[in-house]
Amino acid sequence: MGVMDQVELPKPVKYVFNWGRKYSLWCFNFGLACCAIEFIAASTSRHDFIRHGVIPFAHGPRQADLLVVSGTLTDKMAPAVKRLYEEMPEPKYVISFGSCANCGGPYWDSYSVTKGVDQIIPVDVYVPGCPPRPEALLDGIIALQDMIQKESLKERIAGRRLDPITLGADEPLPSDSSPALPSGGRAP
Amino acid sequence: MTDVLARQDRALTPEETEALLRDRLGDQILSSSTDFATFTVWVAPGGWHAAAQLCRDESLLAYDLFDCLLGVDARDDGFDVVAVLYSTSTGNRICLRTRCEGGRDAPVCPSLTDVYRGADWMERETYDMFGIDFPGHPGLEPRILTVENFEGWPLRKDFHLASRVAKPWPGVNEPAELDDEGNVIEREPEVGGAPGPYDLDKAMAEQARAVNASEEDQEEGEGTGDDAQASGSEQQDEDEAPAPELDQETYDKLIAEGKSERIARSKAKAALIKKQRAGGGDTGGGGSDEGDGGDDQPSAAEKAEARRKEQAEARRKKAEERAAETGQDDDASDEGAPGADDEEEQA
Amino acid sequence: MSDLSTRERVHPGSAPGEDFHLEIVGDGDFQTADMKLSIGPAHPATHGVFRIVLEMDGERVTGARPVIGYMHRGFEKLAEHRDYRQIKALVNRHDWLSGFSNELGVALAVERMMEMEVPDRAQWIRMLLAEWNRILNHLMFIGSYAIELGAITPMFYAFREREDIQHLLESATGGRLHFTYNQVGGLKIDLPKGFLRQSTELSALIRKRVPDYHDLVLGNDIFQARTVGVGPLPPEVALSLGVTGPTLHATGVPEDSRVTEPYLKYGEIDVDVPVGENGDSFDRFYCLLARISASLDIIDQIHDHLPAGPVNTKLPKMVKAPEGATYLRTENPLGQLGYWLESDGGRTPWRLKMRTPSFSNVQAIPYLLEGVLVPDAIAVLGSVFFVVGDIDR
Ligand code: SF4
Repeated sequence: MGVMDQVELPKPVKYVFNWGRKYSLWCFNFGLACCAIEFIAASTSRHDFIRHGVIPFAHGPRQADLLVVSGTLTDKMAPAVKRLYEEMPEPKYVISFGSCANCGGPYWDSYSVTKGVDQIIPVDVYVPGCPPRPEALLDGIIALQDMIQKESLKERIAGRRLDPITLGADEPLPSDSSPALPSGGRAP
Repeated sequence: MTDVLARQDRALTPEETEALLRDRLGDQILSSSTDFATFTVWVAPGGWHAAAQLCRDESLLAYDLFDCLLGVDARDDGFDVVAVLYSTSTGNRICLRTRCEGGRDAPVCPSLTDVYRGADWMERETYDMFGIDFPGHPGLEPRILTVENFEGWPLRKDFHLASRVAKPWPGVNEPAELDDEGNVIEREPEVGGAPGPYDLDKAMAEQARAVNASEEDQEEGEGTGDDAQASGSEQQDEDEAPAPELDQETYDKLIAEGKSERIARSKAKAALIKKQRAGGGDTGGGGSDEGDGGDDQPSAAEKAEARRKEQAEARRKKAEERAAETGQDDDASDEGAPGADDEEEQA
Repeated sequence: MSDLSTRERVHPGSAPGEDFHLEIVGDGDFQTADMKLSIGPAHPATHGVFRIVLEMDGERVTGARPVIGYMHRGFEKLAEHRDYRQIKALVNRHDWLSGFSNELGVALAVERMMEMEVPDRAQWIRMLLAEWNRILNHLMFIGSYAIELGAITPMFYAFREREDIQHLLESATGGRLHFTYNQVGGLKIDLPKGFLRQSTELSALIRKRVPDYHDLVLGNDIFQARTVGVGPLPPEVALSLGVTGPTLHATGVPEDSRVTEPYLKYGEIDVDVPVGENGDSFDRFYCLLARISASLDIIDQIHDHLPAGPVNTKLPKMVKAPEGATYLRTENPLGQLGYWLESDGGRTPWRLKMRTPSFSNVQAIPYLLEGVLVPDAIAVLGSVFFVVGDIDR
């Protein structure tokens, strides 16, 4: 990244830079359960999120900017997700897709399910639903892109994560200064 | 396809099958039943392996498809193991069932892996879920489904779900739990007064903090003594009923009695929740107010209390009647109890 | 391609406890050291979080050990904490590609125990949706198996059809994957107006498109070169492992509970069960593809039979199964799904065991993989159709 994490870019440069980044999100799908099927549906011809600049062909976590965790995270699986996240290069973004990934979903009282992927890795966008419709994923992607457009790469890399967005919350999408929900906010 | 169906005509009836098994295995065959279209044969543990072998090799039976093997919690008697076999040539199905030796402490059942290959994983799964040992199995460890360092046997009835103890069921009716008198636990749905997710989270966090403050070392396992756990929880139910104290006190008491910490914690939380449900928000002790902290809440609580008593009364009467003339229908008693009617989902 | 004569020498008996080793691991100068290769739990070749540890001598697999449990969500325990109506929201989630068939089995088991009469119309509609669900499931595997063998395009074709079917099912049930349309005693609501017309049209459309898959995948030279003769499974081994569904049909055993133990109204119509001969990867895929046409035939018959009438029965105030136990199985898309339902007379099941097809089918993988080459291992792995949630529940 070089100078990016040292200096704050001038505004026009930042704008162009972020514009470029937000439309080339190489996406790694961590498909865990039923929601992964809806993720695939969102990537195929009917819904087609490639037209939003999300490319679901990342060969591995090391080549990915965006991690979509779709499905139930179990305690047995949790270390693998953490490792995968750590393998991704900065700046990296996470979309938690589906109620299970958000908070445990219908398995909220299970003995073997991790109640939310945000207990392990930081999440940028929560997409609620069981399973969410592909359209909801498109909405989540657009929300993430708005966030990328507004953010400062310097701050991001310095480890200051922006607060998560919850789709469907009444508040407007957050700008740099006004987060929508306190961190740890849950999808309904 | 057609020859399969044609051969079904030669299939033995359940009675003939049982007679054949009795002929070969003698008193190892205990009894049989065909309730609910399911032909079940009870086998003594000693004849378990031989029965399966016979079912596979005897040409009249020819149960060649190994369908399933499962464990069932048989309360104080320990655990049952059921093997379901199917014959593709005759279209018959048989469920062999045995009661494990060793009670709840060390259930043991002979392995069927050398008869049916499919028993391999099924037995590993049963071991993982119930802790039943299968001598003769090539390797039950590592645990097949749960995470490797998991403690306890999840499908035993004395394994409690931690989340359920900490957090009440979000709907109106608790589906599985019954209160001390055996009634269905019902919460009064108050318009606008339902606890939101944030209230619950706050309450849970507070409870957790209260518990953590008093005890630091929580890592003591519960899986070490399932038998102790079983008897412990039963005993506890008796203790708890007369004097449910504050969350913290119950906990201390349990610890003093030498219970494992996790059990003590769950029990203490359950006690707190139970009290809150019964008495509204007037308990202290760092609990939640369940979101109903209004002015008219005592009356609602009283109403609920009265209703519960009524239900209990009706229940008890019914139970006595039932005891008098055994065989009375269960559903009738539910309908007799007032207030069991907001169950209905269908118009 | 696996060497059949070698494989026979490796498997003298049928018991898994017997020695599990290959004598011939390379000859003379080409002898290589053993190596362990762990694929998964997140690997594109294992669709889903499935892990398999291969022991290899050079490029030849000498042993395979699937490691499962990464998707274990504790369904059986949770079912004991939900009442009979709440279970169906959980049960359709374990095999996420065949939600309708899953909930059907639970409803049937509870109805059997409560001795409930389900209206005819509800039974026919259940069959109709179950068959659509079967097609939905098979299309997914057609796409994903082709991807595993290196062809991306069939996936897009498969999803074109899937979206159409999901749209149809959504119009009746409101769900795209998890329908929650069954309930004890019937269905949630009747079919919407125009459903039958749409269903008829769609079945004609898909019937027209099925030949595409035959040309695109099955008739493809590369596909055939990679699958014919790879990973054959003998019928006796399959049965003793409990393998069912297309994987069993490929071995030539036409065991399908829609025919041999008809439930719902399957006894009143013709059900065609396509079977293979050799039980290899090609046959497994062929059975899967042929089952789509078979299901379309069934759907057309159902359109002709569907009677008028109510779709549900009045339930008692509490759904309670009487004390006892029952075992019931249905033909799920991937194989036979069995339910052991044991009740103590309460509002919740005492024990609800699901015998899932994938669990038993995946047990065959160590047998199939022994002695094959690594590229073939992927072809074999993909052809034993499984859903990870269905293995682990
Ligand atoms: S949120 Fe629902 S659909 Fe998604 S993985 Fe969880 S159970 Fe499946």
